[in-house]
Amino acid sequence: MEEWVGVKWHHYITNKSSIRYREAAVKLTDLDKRLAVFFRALGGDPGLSIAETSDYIHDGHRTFLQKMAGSGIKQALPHFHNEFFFLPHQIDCFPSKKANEALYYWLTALASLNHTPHKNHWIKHNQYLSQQILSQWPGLRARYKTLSSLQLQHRPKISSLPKKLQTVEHALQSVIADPWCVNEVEVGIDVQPLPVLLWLYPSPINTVAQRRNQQDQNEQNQEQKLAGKNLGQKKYKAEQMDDRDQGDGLIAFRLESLFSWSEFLNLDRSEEDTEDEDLQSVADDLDKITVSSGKTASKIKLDLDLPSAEYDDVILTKGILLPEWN
Amino acid sequence: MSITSSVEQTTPLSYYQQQNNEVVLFETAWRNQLPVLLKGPTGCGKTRFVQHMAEKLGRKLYTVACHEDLTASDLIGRHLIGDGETYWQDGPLTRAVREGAICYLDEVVEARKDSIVVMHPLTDDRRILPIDRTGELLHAPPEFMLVVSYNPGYQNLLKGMKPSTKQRFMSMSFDYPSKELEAEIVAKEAGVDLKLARLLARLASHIRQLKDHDLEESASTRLLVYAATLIKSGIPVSEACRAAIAEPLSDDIEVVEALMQVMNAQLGDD
Ligand SMILES: Nc1ncnc2c1ncn2[C@@H]1O[C@H](COP(=O)(O)OP(=O)(O)OP(=O)(O)O)[C@@H](O)[C@H]1O
Ligand SMILES: [Mg+2]
Repeated sequence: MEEWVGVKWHHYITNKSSIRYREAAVKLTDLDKRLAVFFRALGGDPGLSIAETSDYIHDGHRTFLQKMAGSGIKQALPHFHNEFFFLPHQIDCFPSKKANEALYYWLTALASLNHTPHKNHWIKHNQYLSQQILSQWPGLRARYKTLSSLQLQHRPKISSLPKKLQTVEHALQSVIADPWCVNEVEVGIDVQPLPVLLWLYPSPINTVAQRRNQQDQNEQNQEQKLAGKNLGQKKYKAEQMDDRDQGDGLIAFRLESLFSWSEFLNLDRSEEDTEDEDLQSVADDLDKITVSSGKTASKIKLDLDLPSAEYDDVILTKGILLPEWN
Repeated sequence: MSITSSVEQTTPLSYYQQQNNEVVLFETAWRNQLPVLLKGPTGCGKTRFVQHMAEKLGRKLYTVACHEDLTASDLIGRHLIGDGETYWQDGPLTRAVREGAICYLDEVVEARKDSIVVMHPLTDDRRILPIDRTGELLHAPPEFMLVVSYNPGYQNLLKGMKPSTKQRFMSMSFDYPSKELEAEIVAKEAGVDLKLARLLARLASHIRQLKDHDLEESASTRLLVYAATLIKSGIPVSEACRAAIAEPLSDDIEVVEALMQVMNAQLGDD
């Protein structure tokens, strides 16, 4: 009974806190071929492919309800990485299929300029990209109007935000409403607003890791390498293992933040070289792969695309040799 | 086989928008009795150019659309039976030689090899046309000119043209015009305003980026003229673009829909 109430509460509160219209959901797999042609026709780099991204943990501000529900931490954010332009695997943030589909095309149009926004100029870069697309592709203006007003309905009320976020949120909303408005405000390291659905994100996204590990470039590279693997179309989240900023949660300590075996693979690859663990199935079960920043995980070699040799190959045993008779 | 000949006319020349130096080059070739090969994608103005030049030079034009069943007799001529007796009838090539006209073989790579070789003695400095059936040997007058064209697209990559044939011609490469020129052409040909024509030309330049990757052929100037004509006649823009541009370019519904999205991004929708 307790569990039942818990589940109900969870559904209720997550529905309340995150705006999702499941009946209007549009899947990337239904559109990806069209988006790819659209991307190239608008000038997108023909060497890039479109792939889907799983939800990313973002650092942005969350609303009170989201904190209460423990939701809103994850959000699929469009970005470039290696030879891929990653789009959310599904868009359901707007009430109509048409609008959600239009959002896919809008993001693809922004990406067709082949620029990835810099994390320190994220607002201004997206402002610039929006301006460029709207002036080069006047047919998109009407759609942008619809999308931006829908997006603005999602934005938090400025007065409800902590002081340090108010200026940024205000600037952001003005830019979304009118990309030609004059704006000098930029995001700051500890001023990360709620994700903007209409904009591109720097790559790789994990700002927690970037913030914390600027001194430890080695580990960073490793993270990027792993994150860059396009695992059967879906990009898994690779994250520097780090205490998340607990100040953003509602309770300081959450039970589920304890690592279980399924979330934490403490691989000591310097010793363990035989590859006889079934890492593929473990990796598949996870929606994120946590790479410890400890020195043990100095090198990770995962054969994630293919099942390990033991599973793949038909093992031919010698058989029983019988003495010939006749 | 279709043979058309331009009517002697006093009306203004048919419209051709020059892209480079092709008019002077062609005229010079004609004055010096050099045969000409035109290469270029479909609908970029090759046929129109030849027609324009023939009118400009005051020559009659014989156009032959080549195909794989085209025989040497189709070009040179054959004996026919009529009124109880046989008589000889010249083919278009022979007629062009006799009259000092321009003979234009369109899509020449489609023609069979044995019909192509009959052009050989005409395309070197002998400029003769032996007619085996009648034993006649024609010497081409200085006004006679042979022009051939082909589209070096994907389907012709293998066929190509024999080097020994190719090297008998002076070659000119055609391509789709620049955006501004193309807009002018579309505006003039379809009688639409330059603003619409510019949008269509810009659209085409974007769709052309898809060549080889998503599309086998580029959107031709011809298709743009079609689209503009439909729009001028009152068909809504997106319907006109679908019928005249997206559908002719691909049979893949995903690609067609993507092209429609590109058009909507350019010209507006809904
Ligand atoms: N430079 C140009 N000036 C005027 N009209 C042009 C020009 N280029 C293209 N056009 C327009 O495009 C149409 C198609 O051109 P044309 O028939 O000459 O193409 P083509 O190169 O012969 O194509 P194909 O290889 O398919 O025979 C013309 O009817 C004309 O309306
Ligand atoms: Mg032609």
